[in-house]
Amino acid sequence: MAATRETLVGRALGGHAALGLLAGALLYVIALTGTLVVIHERWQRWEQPGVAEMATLSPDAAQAALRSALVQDEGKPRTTHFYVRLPSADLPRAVVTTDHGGWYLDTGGRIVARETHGWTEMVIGLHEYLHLPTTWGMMLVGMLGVVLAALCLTGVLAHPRIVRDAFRLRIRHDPQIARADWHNRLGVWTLPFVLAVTLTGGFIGLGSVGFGVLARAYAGGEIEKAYAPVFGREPPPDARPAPLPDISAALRVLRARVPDVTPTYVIVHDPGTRGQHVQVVAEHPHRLIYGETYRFDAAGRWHGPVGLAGGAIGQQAAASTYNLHFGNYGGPAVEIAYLSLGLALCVVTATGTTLWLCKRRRRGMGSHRLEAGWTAVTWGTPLALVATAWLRGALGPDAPLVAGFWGVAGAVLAAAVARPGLVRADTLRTTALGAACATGLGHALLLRPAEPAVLAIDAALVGLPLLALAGLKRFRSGPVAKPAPV
Amino acid sequence: MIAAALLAIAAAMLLVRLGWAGRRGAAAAGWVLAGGALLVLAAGVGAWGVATGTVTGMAATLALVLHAGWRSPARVRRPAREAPSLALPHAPAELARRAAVFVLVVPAAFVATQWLAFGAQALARRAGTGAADATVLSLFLQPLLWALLMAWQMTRAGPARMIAPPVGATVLGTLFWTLS
Repeated sequence: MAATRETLVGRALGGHAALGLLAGALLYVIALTGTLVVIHERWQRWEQPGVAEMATLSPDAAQAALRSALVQDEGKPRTTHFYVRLPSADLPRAVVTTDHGGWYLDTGGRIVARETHGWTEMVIGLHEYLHLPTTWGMMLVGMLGVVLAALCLTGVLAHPRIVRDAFRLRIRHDPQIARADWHNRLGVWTLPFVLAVTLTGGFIGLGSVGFGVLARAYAGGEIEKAYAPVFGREPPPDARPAPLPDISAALRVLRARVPDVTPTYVIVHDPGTRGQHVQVVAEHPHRLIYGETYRFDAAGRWHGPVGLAGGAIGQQAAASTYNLHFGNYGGPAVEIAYLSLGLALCVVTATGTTLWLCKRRRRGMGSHRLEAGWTAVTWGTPLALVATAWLRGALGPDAPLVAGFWGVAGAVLAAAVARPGLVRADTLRTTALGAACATGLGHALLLRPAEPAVLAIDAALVGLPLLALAGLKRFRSGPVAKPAPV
Repeated sequence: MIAAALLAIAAAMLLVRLGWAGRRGAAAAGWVLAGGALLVLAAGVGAWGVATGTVTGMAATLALVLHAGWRSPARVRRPAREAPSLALPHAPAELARRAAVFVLVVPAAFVATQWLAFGAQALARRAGTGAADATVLSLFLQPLLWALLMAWQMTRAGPARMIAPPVGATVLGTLFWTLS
């Protein structure tokens, strides 16, 4: 029995290592960017700190926003949708978006500035689809989520002392033991979080495949018909011209009918046509769902909810995956918890491959190139993210940020392969943390943000790297043991 | 009520930590308290409460683990003794084996679990489940089944033994589809 158990543990460890090596680098990039994306709306404010903020937007101002956006779009093809984003605690700004771009609004619904958070969008794009074509990239990220879930399962099977070692973290021990402890302890205690984000990530990323299969089987290949039972169906289009819809009436009706919800988005489909209709997405307190979608006609008459809040259990479950994945269901406390758990996942991912490299070296199979390459991934990725923030600051909102990220990350990796001696973990780590610190300091001094929430990000960018550098000194192990006399 | 339950969960994880270091009864009491607080949250505020309570428990435990790490003594580095659990392939046969593993675990298992999830939702529809529930069942099942299948395959001794799981999933999916 013991032999069988050992064999299973050994095989599980082998399988765990193989999966980790297959996907480790991409999983690390996704984990790191996912950690940042938890507070993406705060990054958006940080990226454009000068935009005026507000607590609410009146229904009349929302109506005025449609007219403002129409004027802004003059000379361009007519937009197929309007999105009016209403101010929230995380992003206390109103934004109107058409097919041609987004603009911040003042309290009267007038356009005051272009929405230009290219760096935040670059980070979101990296997390959601690795900057590949969106559908294929989301599928790949969804698949990587499944691989990470399988890594969790094989990791538990490969860890027979899971209870005995539950709180053992020997960070000042031999580097291999220290890394194994980081990997195992953080891996075990973050297991519910990691399984939740990987399986919801798999649901989101691979959803296009699933809906595609269901559309072929039940809806003659029409994907919208496959979405309809969950997210609601759209009325048939009618391209004949019509005046803009009355979204102020829709917002007033919503407030009267469902006073305890908070509207977050107004969406106008096919605006300016007879087929136009309005949806208002509203958050429900103490719910995991991202919101309920309330439907209205062009005159603002109530057509009822889609059912995400109180419909079929499948609708509620589907609507809950997004908040559960991104951690935006419990205010700043849950966001900070998700940031911490996300960082823990980064440590688990990074130490997994480092551990494998340590074991190779101890066996006499060390490779400076492989080790430098992994160092380039773990510390070159945050460095590239910081570098692109500076690129955004230097060249403005239209800077080539995707090329900038992959250029810097690729250059560090190429340097590691070509000259492994140049890429040292401690140097690159200090550089990346120092660059993050300088970014916070530079942002605060150059842009002088007034909002406390934006200043808090600057303070975190300065403080957390300094804290990490101070903490890392304590994590150092003792001297190398002398060989025992023969 | 919510704040009290969340505090109880944080306290429960402290009990688990104390029990791990000494009296086992404290750990058991901690798990019972955490479970009870989660039940209270589930009854009061549903899935939101369970998610918030679980995050609170993980955050509290993370703090306790980091505290243990901070207090751990410095030790000398030990000499080499462990072999890596996986070596990089060099021989063509070994490369072919790895390629076979990849094909079985990624595309083959993906298609098999997609088919099984589809079959399961078809059977659910047949049993009277609504279109929304059946659709979401399929979408949730696929990544879950694939992760389970992948973990199962990766604990097999070689590629030949990795064939059975996707074949089994395909057969089961076909059975569900036939019954629907």
